[in-house]
Formats: sequence, structure tokens, C-alpha cells
Amino acid sequence: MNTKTLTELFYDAVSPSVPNEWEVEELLHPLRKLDDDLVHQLFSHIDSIWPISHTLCFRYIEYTSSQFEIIGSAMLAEWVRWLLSQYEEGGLRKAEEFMSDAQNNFIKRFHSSSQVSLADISPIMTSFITGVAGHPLRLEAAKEVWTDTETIFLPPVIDIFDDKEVNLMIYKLLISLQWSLISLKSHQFLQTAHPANYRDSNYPAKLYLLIKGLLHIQQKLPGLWKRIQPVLSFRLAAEAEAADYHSINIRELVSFIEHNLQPVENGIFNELSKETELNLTNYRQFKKSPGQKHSPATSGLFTLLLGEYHLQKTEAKIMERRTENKKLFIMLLHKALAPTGPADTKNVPDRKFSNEKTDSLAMLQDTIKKAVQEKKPRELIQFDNANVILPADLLDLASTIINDLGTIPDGYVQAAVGMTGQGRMEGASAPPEDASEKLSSGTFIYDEWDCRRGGYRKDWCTIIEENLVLNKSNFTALTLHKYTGLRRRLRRQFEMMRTDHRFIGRQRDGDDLDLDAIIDAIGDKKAGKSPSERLFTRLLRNKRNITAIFLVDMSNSTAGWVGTMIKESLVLLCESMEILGDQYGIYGFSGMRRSRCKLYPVKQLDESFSESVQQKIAAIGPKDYTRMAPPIRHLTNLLAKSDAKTRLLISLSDGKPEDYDGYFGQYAIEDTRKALMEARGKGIKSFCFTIDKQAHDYLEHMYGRGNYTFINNIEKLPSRIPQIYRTLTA
Amino acid sequence: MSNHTEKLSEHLITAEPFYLEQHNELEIALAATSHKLPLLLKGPTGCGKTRFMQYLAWRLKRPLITVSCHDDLSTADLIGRFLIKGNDAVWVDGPLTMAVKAGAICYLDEIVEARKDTTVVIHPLADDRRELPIEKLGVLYSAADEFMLAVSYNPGYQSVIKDLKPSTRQRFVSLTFNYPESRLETKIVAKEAGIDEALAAQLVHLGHMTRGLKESGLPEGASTRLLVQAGMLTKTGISTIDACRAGITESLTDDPELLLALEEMILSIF
Repeated sequence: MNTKTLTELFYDAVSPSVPNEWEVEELLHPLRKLDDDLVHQLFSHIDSIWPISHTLCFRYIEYTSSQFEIIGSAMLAEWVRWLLSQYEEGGLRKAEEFMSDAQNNFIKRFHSSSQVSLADISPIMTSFITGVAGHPLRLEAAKEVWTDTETIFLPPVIDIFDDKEVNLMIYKLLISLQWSLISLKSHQFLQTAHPANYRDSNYPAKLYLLIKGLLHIQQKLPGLWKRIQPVLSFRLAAEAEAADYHSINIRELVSFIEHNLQPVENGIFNELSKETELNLTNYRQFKKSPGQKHSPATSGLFTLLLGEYHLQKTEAKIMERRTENKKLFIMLLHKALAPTGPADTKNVPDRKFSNEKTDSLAMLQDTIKKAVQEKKPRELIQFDNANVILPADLLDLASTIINDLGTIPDGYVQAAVGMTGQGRMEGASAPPEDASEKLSSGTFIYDEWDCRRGGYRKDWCTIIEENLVLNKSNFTALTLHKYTGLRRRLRRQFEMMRTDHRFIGRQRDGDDLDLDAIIDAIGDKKAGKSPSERLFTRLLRNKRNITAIFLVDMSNSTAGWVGTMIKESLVLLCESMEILGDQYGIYGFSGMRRSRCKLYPVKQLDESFSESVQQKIAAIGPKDYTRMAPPIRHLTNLLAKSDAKTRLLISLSDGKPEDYDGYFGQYAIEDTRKALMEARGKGIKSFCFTIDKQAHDYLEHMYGRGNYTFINNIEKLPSRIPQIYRTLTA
Repeated sequence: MSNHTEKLSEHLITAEPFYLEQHNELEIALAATSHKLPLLLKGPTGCGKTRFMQYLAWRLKRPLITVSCHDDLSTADLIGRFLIKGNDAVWVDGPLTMAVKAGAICYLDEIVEARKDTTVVIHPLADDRRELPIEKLGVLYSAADEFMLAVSYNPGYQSVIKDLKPSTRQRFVSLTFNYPESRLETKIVAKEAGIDEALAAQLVHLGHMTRGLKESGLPEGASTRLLVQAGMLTKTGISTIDACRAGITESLTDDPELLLALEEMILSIF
């Protein structure tokens, strides 16, 4: 390939940026010797590196082209992933250091038979621990092993043993151990039962919790316990020696703990909650199990197992979660209590609240607790002479709160009841018939739901439709090239949906006789009835009567890889949708403040997947904030005009709704939820794809159960979106 | 009529089906029965909806006629049709007509799978009219007092197209089912699969772990039915881990990454 072609390709890849020509020429000169195919492969990653750092991208081309033989095309994507993470960790210098020796820094380490990296196992282990815990837990790389009860922090790489399997096992153990510590409320133990004794260097407390954690694993995850035994029995010695506990094995460890923590066990410890209490039977049994003297320990493992406790950070996280839960609980209960109609006293005879406020509060509190205890899906009660249904999400939340605090605090219920009383006096205003008001072409005004006052803020947000600047790059072509295999699979799947051929019987004309219909007809005739004329079967291609609009988050948090993945997903989705023939549109949104909520039409409903649409997809880029409700309201109006039988609004998002002007948290979530409910009221179904790891905390509330999906591995986005669309509309 | 009686007697459940009550579903169902109200059973797959209907039918001593709905189900498949016998045309009642006349329970399983125009036929039966018009015969049957209509569906299906019309939905007394709580589920798995409670508890534990992955890749976690199946496999000598793989995880997903996570779950328990 000559320099001119190379330069053109390069400018295409970095468009709309225009770097210095002489610089580019110098950079690309050595690439002339490379195969065309290799150049295309090399350039296919520019898109992910260029937005992060132009200099890094230059270095990438320089180092990669000179070491292509070592790296090999199969490993190129992995190479890019490594270099980006090096860049994120230590900036350009570290990335350059890494790239300078592909053989030693990359190939050797990659093929090292023993090393396990958190990045590799994270998707699987996140699913594993989420399942084990029954609620989402995240895994993140850090120097120390610890947890803030929502995220488990682990070393980025484990390479302690020669065997990769054993290193992987250590990861599993560390993750499970930290989960155990969360379940056992270890932070509470350290804070309440042991505040004076706890110091960072306080081995007894940490050792004690380690044993407790291991016992918990033994009890709850016996399979893992069985497999970890050979590793555990054990290599603690050297580390323990360093800490001056001579050649400690588990048995000795237990007796050491017993000796050192005697006062705790006999005294304060007994007062701890049930979860924190050590199961003494297990404890003694454990003591009796044969402790083995061990081979020399491997440095670091003991420290990893002991972990670290950052009590303040953990406490802050717990408080943050409690505040969120409290707000949500008050909001949900307030909503549930808001009067809906006169009571039907016949149906709920035994849960009548008296007018005595305090009594009724206490009874309400008890009813909720009882419903949670009995695991009822929902509960019907009577409150202030009105029928009230306590919905499933409220009871779920109540269960979480009771699990955390042991009860539903009085204040929570009082606040909700107080709000309800206030609301009754003020009266909630109903949404106007048509919330939008068109100003000039491309500018629309919408109301916003204010959950604090339970009413709409009139004419609050302005949606401005703005066109994206076309990006003449080969993004689409590269994406299509990159996903050749996946595309083939998607094409087949979508073709099968489109050609959902089936024979339908009882037709007036058709390809073949319908035997059942003929039998019916003969029977009818014999019986003296006039037989049906519908005697044929016909091959029917199911007409899909679906209109879908995809709403794409273009907030600044989608910069870099996330944005690229979303764009790639859209390209694959468009290709699949073209096969399917459903009417669809794509809109991006972002904006800052209520007066500038911007909507970027990428593909209008009646537009085809043309060159300009492809350029607009390539032009999707990070903008400002995520005020999600106004675009939802706008697109709801657009979809409401469609006469398709099924109308879908599908959002692709990477985080909570948020804007610059105090639009965040509860307020933003409730406004978005209201907008989605308005959509539902107009017969539009909504669904959300998210890559936000905290999605479970709020998406169910916003979209409703089963109406969202969390994609934990961003690289899977391109395959998951079309697949889930297929399931949704099958 | 004798032919009917003969056919219906096949649908009478004589032995008590094993059923453990989750909440007050039995009480509500019996109340609905006494007021001749139709039942709508909602819940995830394999949580005991069909078993509940069998138990209810046994309790009420009424025949249970189950129709598994599919999108080729025609109205004639429910109501009946003329057939030729020798030189005569003979009307043969469909399952719904049979149940209406003889006072049986007609249970339409997974009703959302049927086309909406087919299910409309149940409308006059599902309100206070309790009537079934049969155009071809020119008759209008009033349902016998013991007739009961019950339908079921799984609201967890993600397909937006498969949903019940409000006009259908708003005729029923609804019972929501979910997977039973751990202790109850352990008892069910132990009894149904014929395994000891310790193993059943472990299977239930695994079931709970998979359910934690709903919305994170799995459309549904493992149903009680799957747990029972895995339990049964272990009884025939298959190792517990293989039984869990074949009986539970492989039936849940094809996604290689999720399968690996599920495999880790199995290995963490067994």
C-alpha cells in the first residue's frame, strides 16, 4: 500500500480530526511494507484509541507495526486491550514501556501458564457471586483485598502458584470470602464489638474474621470448601512467622484466636446479631478437624486472605445505601397510601386502622413487617378508610431494610404518612392531555414530574432536535468486517424470524387442501348445515406489525470504549433490522439543563439504513448529561402517532438519569419513571439495555420487573442487543 | 352422555397429588369456586401452577381437562366439530364444551400462546353469563354449576407481543405464584425426586443462586421443576454435578460465559 492510500485510510479512521500531514506521513511511512490486510487490522483499532489519546494512537501504530510478527493478528484485539489498561493505570509512559517489548511484556505474560487476571475472570465471577449473594455485587481491581459491601476489591492479577487453576481457585476463595464477610456483617463486628482493639495491624481481629469467613464458606459453599482444602492446608506459615505466630496451622490459629479473643466471645460477642454470632458447634468441630503441618508458605497469600478493612469507607457506602433506601421506601409507601377510592370494608375486615394516628402507624409498620415475614407477593390493607395495596417492590425494599436494620424505623413510616396527608390537602395535579407544545421547528416543550410535590412542573423542559455532523469514516465498513461471524449468525436468526412461514388453515384459497376443514365441512354438510368455504391452507409469512425506536444515551460518560461498543451495536442492529423489516428509528440524546435537552435523530422511522444514517451512527459521540425523561416524552408522542400494533421504545444507557441543574437521584429517577408510565398509558412498551453496574438498584423501579437487562460485559453489547430484540418481539 | 361420562372419568384425579400450599392460594381458589368465578394463574415456569390445578381438581372432586395452548389452536379445537361416522355426521364436543356440560374444570395452560381471536371464545364463559354459544349447533349451553374455567400464563416472558388482552384478563380472579420459599421448596424437591432433604436443600440453594442471575443474563432462574429433575437424575446413579449440569444449568442457557458462571455455582456447592 502506498503512502497516499495509507494516509487516506488514516484520515478516514480519525475523522473528523485532521492531524498534521507531515507527522502522519512520517508515522505511516514504515507501514508500506505491511500487507493490506494487516494495515486494515491495525487501523481497525484506531477508533478505540484515538478518542482516548492521539499520542497513544501514534505510539500504537509505531510499536504495533514494528512488532506485528510477534503480536500476530489473532492477538491484536487483546494487545489493544492491554495497552489501554496500561494507559489508564500509568499514563502514556507506562503504555509506551509496555509496548516497547511485546515479546516479554505481552506474549510471555499472556501465555504464562500460571497468571490469572481479574479482567479475564471478572464477567464470569461477577455472575457467580451475584448468584451466590442473591443480589448484585461488583468486582474491581485494587491493591488491597477488601469490600465496601457493594464492591469487592481484588488484586488485578494473581500469580502466586505455578498452577493457573490454583491461582483461579484463590480468586474464587477471595471473592467468596469477602462475600462471607459481607453476609456476616464483619464491619459491624469490628465497629461495635471491637472498636478499641481494632487497628490495621490488629491480627487477632482479622484472623478471627478470617476463620469465621472460612467457616461460613464451609457451611454455605461446601463444594468450594472441598476443592480449596489442598490449597488451604496450607501455606500460611511463612507469613504467620513473619507476624511472629510460629508455624501456625488452622488448628493453632483457632486456639490462638480463642485465647486472644476470649473476652469478646464470652462477653460482647454474645450480644451481637444472629448473623455475627459464631456458630459454636461448627467452631468446635472445625477445631477438631485435622490440621496439617504445611509446606513453606507462599508470600502474599496470607495477606490476601486476611484482607483489609476500610471501615469509614464501608460505613459511608452503607449510609449512602440506607439513605437511598429510606427515600425510596418513603416514596413508595407514600404512593401506595395515596387515596385511590372509597374503601370496600367488606373485603378487608381485620386490618382496619383506627383513627388514632400512633396506633395506625404502629399497625401499618407491623403489617409491612408481617407481610415481609410471610413473603407475601403483595398485601391489601385498609388505611384511613381507604383500600391500600402494598406493592411487591415496596415489600422487597422493606425486606432489604429489615435485613439491614432489623426493623422498619418509625421515622420512615411517619414520613410517608406525613407526605400522604399533605398530598391529600394539596391534591395532585393530573397530567395535561397533550404535554407537548411545539414552538418552532425542532423545538418542543414538555412538563416534568416533580416527585417532591407530586405534580408536574408545567412547560419545564425544552427538547431541541439537532442534526449530527456527518462523519465520513469507514466505521460501518470496519464494524461489519470485524463482526463477520456474528453477522452471519444474526442474519440467519433474523431471516428465520422474518420468514416465520407457517401454514394457516381455513382459508378461502391457498396452496393445499385443509384436511381438518374439509372433514368439518363434510360433517356440517351431512348434518344439514351450510359448510364453510374456507377449505384451504396457505403458507403465510407472518406480518410483523412493529415499530421500534432506539434511544441512545450520548452523555459524556459514554466516551471511549463504551461509545464505540454502542455504535458498533447500532450498526449490527440496523443490519439485522433491515433483514427483519420492522419499522425502526434511532435517536441519540444528551443535553445540559432543562432548557437544552437535545435529541439527535440518527435514523428517522421512515428513513432507510442509508449512507447518511451510517455516517450519523459514526458521528454519535459523548456530549453532556443524561436527562432522560424529556426525550422519552418526545419519542412517546412520535410513537403514539404510529399505527403499528406493537410500539416499542428501547433505551441504551450507561447510567442513572442525571443533569447539571440538580436533576439527579430520586427526583430524576421518579421523573423518568413517570415519563415511562405515560408511555405505557399510550400503549407503548419500553425496555432498557444498560451497562451500569448499579442498574439493579433503580432500573426495576423505573422500567418495571423484566423490562430491562444488564449487560455486564460491554464487549457483548453488539451481540446481545439484536438477540434480545429478537426475544422481545418473537 | 354416557360417552361423555366415560371420557370425563379419565380426567378425574383419584390419588391426592402432592402439593404444599405457598400462601393462601387454596383458600382464594376455593372461595372463587364457590362464587363460580374463573381463575387466572400467573407465575414463572415450573413453579407449581399446573400441580396446583391438579390438587384443586382432586380437592373439588371434579375432572380436570387441560388444554396446552399453541398458536394453531382453533376455536373448533376448543368447542368441537362435526365428524363423519359411516353415513352420518356426528358432532363431537371439544374439551371446553365437554367441561361446560359435565361440570368439569377446563384449564387452558399458557393461554398467551394461543391466538387472541381464539381465546375470545372463553369470554362469555368467564363472566356472570357462564354461557357457551355453539353456532354450528345453534345452541347456547349454560355451564353446569361445577364448571370452572382456569387459565395460566407466565408474565416473565420478555416478548411484548405475548400478553393478555385487558378484556380477557379482567374476567378472572388472579393467583400469583412464585418459587416456594427455601424450606418448602426443599420439602417439595425431596418428596418429588425421592431424595433426602440434605441433597434437596443443596439443589434448592443452587436454584436460588441461579435465580440471582435473573436480569443479569438469564431470563429465568432454575424452576422447582428443574431442581426436581436434577434430583431424579441423581437417584439413578448419575453424579450430582453431572445431574446438575444436565438437569439444570444446560437447560437454562446456551451462553458460554453464563454456563461457566453456573458451573462455578455447582462446584461451589457440590
